[in-house]
Amino acid sequence: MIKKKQLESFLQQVPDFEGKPNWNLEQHMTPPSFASEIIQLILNEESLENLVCADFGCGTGMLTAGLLCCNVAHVCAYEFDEKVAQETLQTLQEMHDGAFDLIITNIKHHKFPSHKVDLVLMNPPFGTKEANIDTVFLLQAFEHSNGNVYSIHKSSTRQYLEKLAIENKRTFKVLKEFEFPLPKKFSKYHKKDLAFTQVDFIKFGYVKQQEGKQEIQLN
Amino acid sequence: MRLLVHNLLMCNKCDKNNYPLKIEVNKSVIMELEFKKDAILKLIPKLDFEVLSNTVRELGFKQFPKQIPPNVEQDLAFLKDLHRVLFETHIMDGQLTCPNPSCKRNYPITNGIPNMILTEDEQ
Repeated sequence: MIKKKQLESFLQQVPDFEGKPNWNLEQHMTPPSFASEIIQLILNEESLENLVCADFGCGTGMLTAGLLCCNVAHVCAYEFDEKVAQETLQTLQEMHDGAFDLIITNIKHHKFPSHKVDLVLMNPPFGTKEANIDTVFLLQAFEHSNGNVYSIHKSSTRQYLEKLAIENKRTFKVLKEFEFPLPKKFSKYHKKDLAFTQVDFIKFGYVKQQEGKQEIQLN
Repeated sequence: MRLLVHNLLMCNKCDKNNYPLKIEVNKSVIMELEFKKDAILKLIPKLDFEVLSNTVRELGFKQFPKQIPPNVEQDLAFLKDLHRVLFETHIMDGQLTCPNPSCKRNYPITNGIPNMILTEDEQ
């Protein structure tokens, strides 16, 4: 298993957004120390070896880079911003020879075929600029994955997300609370250059459906 | 864009007959990657193999099998072909087209990345 320090120093090579991040897309990089800790938390839950993974709203590719260090089979990284996608493809190719691909898309209207990925890891927009976009990302992740979904959300939405998880037959477990650094332009309430937002790193566990069995019980 | 990704993409604009997308390749490259037998074997049941096979054969690899060979675990030649097709072949430039005759929406592949974003009036 890769060591946290080793992973963190690898992830420190991921450059931040070039130029001005797009405010409307809530572009902010997951700090390498967080990404590294997040990967360790996932490895405590399950082995990532040979899994087919997806990263929704990959941005700089920080989480994709983290997954690539864990012997996954492949990562599909989805990004809306065309320029960011091209930069991320290039930097990750220089950093790591693992198997990953970038797809430019809008997760909101992206369609997925019936065969699914094994795991989704994402740091979606928090929904500060566009209400409910975090929920849209989550529902798409539930739909596209026959496995666990790991995601970062504002702690203030915890109760709502727990309900959403149960409605979608997922288990809900907060693996860690973080103070997430956000540039102050992401919130009108923040006076300092960098403000902190309380976020949860959440596991939305996959529950194998046993429809056939249930029918027999009902009869 | 690897063909593994092609296996996971459908037309975002329409709801029927929108999979698999037709693929047109202007430029492709081979980038070598370490062969991992276990990873390939685990991947096979997760693929739409028929779609992959049709695509690969349409693109010119006529000997590629239509079905997963029996005794696939011992069939090293096939596994290596599959590895080359799934992991080492990159479509750098080309386009994807919706197979639905009433749609035929094109999605460009530029610098190795497909663009699946719809315009506002298509959503």
